[in-house]
Amino acid sequence: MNNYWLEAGGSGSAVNSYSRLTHLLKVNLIEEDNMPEPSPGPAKSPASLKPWRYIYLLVLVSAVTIISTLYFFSAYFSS
Amino acid sequence: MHPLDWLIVLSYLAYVIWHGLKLSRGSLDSESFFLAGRSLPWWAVGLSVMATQMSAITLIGTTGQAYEDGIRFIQFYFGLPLAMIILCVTAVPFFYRAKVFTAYEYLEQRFDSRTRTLTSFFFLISRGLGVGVIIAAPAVVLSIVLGWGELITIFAIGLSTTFYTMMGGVQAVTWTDVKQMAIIMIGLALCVLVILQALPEDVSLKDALFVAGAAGKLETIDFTFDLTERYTFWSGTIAALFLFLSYFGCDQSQVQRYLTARSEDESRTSLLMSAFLKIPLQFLILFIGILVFVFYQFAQPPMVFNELAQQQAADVNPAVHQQIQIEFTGVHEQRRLAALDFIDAINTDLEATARASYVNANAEFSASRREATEFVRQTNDDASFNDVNYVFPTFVLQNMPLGVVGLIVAAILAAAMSSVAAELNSLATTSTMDLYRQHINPDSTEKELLRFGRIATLLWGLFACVVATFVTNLGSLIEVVNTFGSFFYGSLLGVFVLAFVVPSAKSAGAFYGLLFGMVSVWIASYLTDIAFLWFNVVGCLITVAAGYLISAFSKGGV
Repeated sequence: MNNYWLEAGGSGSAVNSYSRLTHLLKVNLIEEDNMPEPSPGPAKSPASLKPWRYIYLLVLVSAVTIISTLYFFSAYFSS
Repeated sequence: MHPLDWLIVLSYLAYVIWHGLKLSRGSLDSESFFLAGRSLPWWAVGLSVMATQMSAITLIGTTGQAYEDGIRFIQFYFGLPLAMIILCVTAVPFFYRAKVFTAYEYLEQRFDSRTRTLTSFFFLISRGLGVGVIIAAPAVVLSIVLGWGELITIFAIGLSTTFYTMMGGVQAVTWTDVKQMAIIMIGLALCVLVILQALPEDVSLKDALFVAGAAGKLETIDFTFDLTERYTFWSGTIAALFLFLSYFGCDQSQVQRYLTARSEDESRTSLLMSAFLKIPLQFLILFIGILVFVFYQFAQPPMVFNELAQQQAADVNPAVHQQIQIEFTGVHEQRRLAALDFIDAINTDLEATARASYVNANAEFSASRREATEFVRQTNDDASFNDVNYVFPTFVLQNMPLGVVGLIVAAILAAAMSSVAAELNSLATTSTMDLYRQHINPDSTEKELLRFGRIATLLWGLFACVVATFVTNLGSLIEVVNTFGSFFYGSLLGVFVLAFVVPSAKSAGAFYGLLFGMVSVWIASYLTDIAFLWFNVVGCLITVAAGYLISAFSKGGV
């Protein structure tokens, strides 16, 4: 069994999970992508340097655009 | 079916089974059998994620639903892109870096063994039953196409899928998913082209859409905030968000897809691929249902799409059946003429009048169809009778050209088998890792794990086939699956929220919180009329609240 969480957080694995979550949120949404991790993990591949937060924003904008298009498509043909 | 169509279907089945056998050579240990050695590229994983979610129920049930109810079902998917982003930020790194085989394995590391066992047990029950529903949908189609009994059809589909999943493991599941998605996309594209060709020469696509719009079939977004309404903008963005977070973040059938990716970033990319493509793909499927509706404005549709049930009712009461049939033919002809008048009047002064006439004619047609359905329901003494799932297959068989029928039947089979295979693979993984290795044989060798995984795949396949025999008459199949999932998913999500977000959550809180959540959903389903999607919200919030309070008052523990 992999004990990554227990090793990283010692006996306080619950706190470690929480700190990991807040760290992940910071990494992905707020701060720079290449900020150091608080605990050991796999080596970062070149792909992990992608600006994820921009990609997430792009996905959201695309979704809103698609939904808006559907709305106007519906309104045009139903009126 | 023509021999050429048969040849296409049988060639597809033979290829899938051969492919599974070929990939079985690479499954030498548990990591390769259950996780493909974490070596798959993002596009294959992404297609597998989409193929797993898009079952035959999606093709058959959704097109039928669009024919009957329009495309407002698309709202159900509005929460999916946001759910995928949230999971990319939270669940993917947690699971991927923890190097777990199952999502529930992580819960043991965070809480304790009993929480892992309880969640995996509920997953096994809910998904085991869910696979039965997924097998039942194409069985409905093929029982019409082949004239076989539903029982034989169910076991033919279920066992062939079980065979290649059992032999090839997740490698076979994923690479078969990729090819199956290609077949599905070709089938859908051909459907659109053939229907457009089959419309009367003077009816353009734009005209067809105006007719569908006048019939209310293109009403996409409903901003009404009504908890009892099944598909609204709010249920699709809020309640479905909870469902998708749970389905993609806590359901092993999906978690296992992205655990097979060769890196954490490729796992994320595979989910975002689904976030990008799911709504357009679902729109395409619903759009086919709309095109079928438009097609039947100008061609005589069956009075009831389940011909077998209609014939049974006609045999019992031929006089009433004949009378309803004559009335039905009459209102169809009136509606056809009204539709043509409306198309001629578009962008003229007569448009409003012609539109009103068409709307009235369509309402009379719908009333006549309801009368016919009610006649079959009462005559056959079948209160749950519903022919929504028969609309698309009946249309394909009666109107598609030679060769295309075989391809679309193969596409429906592909959709079913891709979902069933992924579910069976995840059921086998959970059975092996969370039950067998955890409780029965903790010192099991790689060989024993592999053997148990294959046996578990076979047993779950047989179980799903038995379940499928009971669910073929439960109304619109896609709603049956979603309703069923909503009883479990919200509470399961609540446990993972406790694990990820609530640092003070303890094992007792997670364990009893889950039970509280599930009981609350059960109570809500009996005491209220809220739509099934909101059960996910109820289950999650109650589980988190109960888990938090229990953790606060419990002594010691983690």
